[in-house]
Amino acid sequence: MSWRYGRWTVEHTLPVGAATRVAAGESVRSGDILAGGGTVRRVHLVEGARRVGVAPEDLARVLRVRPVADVRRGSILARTGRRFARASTSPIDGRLVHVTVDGDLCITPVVDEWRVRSAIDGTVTRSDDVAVAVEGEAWALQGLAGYGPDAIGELALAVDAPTDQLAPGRLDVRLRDRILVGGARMAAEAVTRAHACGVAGIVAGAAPAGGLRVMYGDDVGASGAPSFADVPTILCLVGFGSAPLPAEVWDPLVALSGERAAIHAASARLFVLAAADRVAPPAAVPAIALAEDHASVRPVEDVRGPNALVLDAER
Amino acid sequence: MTQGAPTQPHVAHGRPLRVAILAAHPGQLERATRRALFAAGVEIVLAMGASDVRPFGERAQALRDARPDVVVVALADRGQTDRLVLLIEPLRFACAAQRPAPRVLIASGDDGAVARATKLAQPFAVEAMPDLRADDGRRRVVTRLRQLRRDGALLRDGALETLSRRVAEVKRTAALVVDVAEASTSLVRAEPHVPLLAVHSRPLGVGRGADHVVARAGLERVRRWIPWSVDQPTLLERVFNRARWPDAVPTDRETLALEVALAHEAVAHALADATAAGIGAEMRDAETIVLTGRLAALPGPARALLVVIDALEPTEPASVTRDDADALVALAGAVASDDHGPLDAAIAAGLAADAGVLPVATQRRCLVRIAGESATREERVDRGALFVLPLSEALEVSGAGVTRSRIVSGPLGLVVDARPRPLTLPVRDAERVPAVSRWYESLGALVARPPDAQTEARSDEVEHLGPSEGFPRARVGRG
Repeated sequence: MSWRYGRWTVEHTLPVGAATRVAAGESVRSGDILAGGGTVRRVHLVEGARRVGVAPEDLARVLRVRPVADVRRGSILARTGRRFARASTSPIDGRLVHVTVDGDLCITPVVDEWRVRSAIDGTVTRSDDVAVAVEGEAWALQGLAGYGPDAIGELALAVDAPTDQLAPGRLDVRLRDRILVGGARMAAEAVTRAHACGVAGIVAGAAPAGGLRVMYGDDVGASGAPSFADVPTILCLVGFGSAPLPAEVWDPLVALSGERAAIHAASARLFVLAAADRVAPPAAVPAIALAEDHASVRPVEDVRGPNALVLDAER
Repeated sequence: MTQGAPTQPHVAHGRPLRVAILAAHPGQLERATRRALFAAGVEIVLAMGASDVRPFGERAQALRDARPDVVVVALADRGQTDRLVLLIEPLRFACAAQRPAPRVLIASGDDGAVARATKLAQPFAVEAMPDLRADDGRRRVVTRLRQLRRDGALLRDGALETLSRRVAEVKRTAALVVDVAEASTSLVRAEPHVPLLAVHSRPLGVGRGADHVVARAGLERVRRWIPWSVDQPTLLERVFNRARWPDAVPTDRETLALEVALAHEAVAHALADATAAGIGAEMRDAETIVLTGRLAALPGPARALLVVIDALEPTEPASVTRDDADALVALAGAVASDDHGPLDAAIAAGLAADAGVLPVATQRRCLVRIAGESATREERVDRGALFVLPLSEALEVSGAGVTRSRIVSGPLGLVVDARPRPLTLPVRDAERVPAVSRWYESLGALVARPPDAQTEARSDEVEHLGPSEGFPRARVGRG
């Protein structure tokens, strides 16, 4: 839980069924589309190799369409022969997504599309069916746990002090597409209202664990829940329940408000795309301590005791 | 060659290994697969059968989300490979580009099935293993998976198994080691001349694995073991903070009670895993039970004892003992395979029983005979009773509803437990809190209230504040 300006690699995991991807080596900006595809559910299995009379390993030679590509009903997928041609055709309008070991072709109807956007400015260093990674420079704040899809927007303060709780009354549609900075606590009421108002994401010291269950389901855990679903995006920086932000964390958040920012849920990081000299190098974060009843977390001066934790630069 | 003080090797949990099971056919083979994986101490992130009703895309997404390091495919014969296509193709679709790509272990006694499945599983690296229904097959899979987990240090699983084996040999009884750690819970049963049974459930634990215990058991099942009313949101906050706080120490009654409650459910679910693997009954009939890890380190040995009798529900009379500060586990990690002398000596010298447990199965009331070195007594035990007899010696127990056996009791006394099995707790707090409080109280495990709260408590509610005050006097039921 400390601010650092540096070079980061952000890996964006993709859902299955990616149809388009940016190539490795390309430059992207935060918010650019890295990959897109359709949600895959049922597939139609179409005889391929057997239909056209080739061995499964030779099917690639006679394929007319390669995964992943859109096909129309009746489109020829594979074909052999000239005078006595044998062909495999698509039974539906859809998308060829996969070829099985036995040389059959999986075609799925295109029902809805998804897109994955870059969290930071940088260069694509990996691009395959599973993930697209982008490497670039940014300010980053390591949090404790991220929930929901990645969020991209302008950083804005939604509380007056690091000890304040995010109030639903301060949230409206004018904050659409912003990443809001809450204080010590973001209750589920405030988070769901913010989501309804189109707020991109919220960063705060802590979120109530019971509220997380309401928003993300009963199996949500303490280590975060990255998702592609249409749910709120939040980043807990310090703990759960209530956790006032140390000045060393809060002051740069104030200074950087108005800058482009992104929450990367999988790594639980807030990226702020500002120049390295935009804020002074932050001081080391003080120790934080778990409350005696474990229901909250707070910064402390006195680092003695079993439940006080001195944070290093990595945390 | 220099002679010096022997250095004890570092015993650790090893690298977490995420394993997905693709099972073409449920039944004995699936149980055998689980038995091997629980023994290997891996984290089972997904189990998918050919009868899974989800469509192709959802199966593939589940596999991608699971990010398995290893995929285990168990096949009885070649006929099952046809159904395996339904599972392997989503795996190829979802994880072919995963970095690093998952390894596929194909376990079957049928060479034709292995050959066909190997072809289906391209482009993944495939390793063939013997049939998991045979001891040799399970042993090889366990060995291979532990190789993948090992990161230099000795695996704690292995140390627990050595300890269990040596306790069984030294005591000449069936021994069960119950270990609850930050993010793992183990049950290891050994008996002379009988194959060892082990379940290492990950990531269930009372620390980093606390939220996994809640996710699996449900918050209400954890909450029910706390002997007072506590609201669910507050409890969940404690669990989540505990899960993200390395090596936190309980410093007040709320957090101590939470740790005891988490330990209850962690052990109960490790036992459920053993049952799913077909070895649940054996885990409950050991005559010597050794507690290690965070369970043994709970403040007050009576609390650890209560966790065992509630969650494990022993079916046979047993002696319960604790390994203080994991001294024996460290020693078990240090012994060479052929030199058990130091460990055996430590077990013989230092592993004294803390308590005896006497489960009584009765429909109404029965008479139990307890013969000690100095005297013999008969106790009338009602169904539902739970009480402690101040006996700390070698005992011979017999009677209706009791398996005749010899056990050793200790400073905590002999716990007579005639509660109906499986143990059920009232749903409503108004009934649950008094019942659970009485159980805690009967063993002297009740967590002390702060001084101001104590003065407000009813005088008959909190009689014993800790195990250091000697034998608890409370007697639950009409025993």
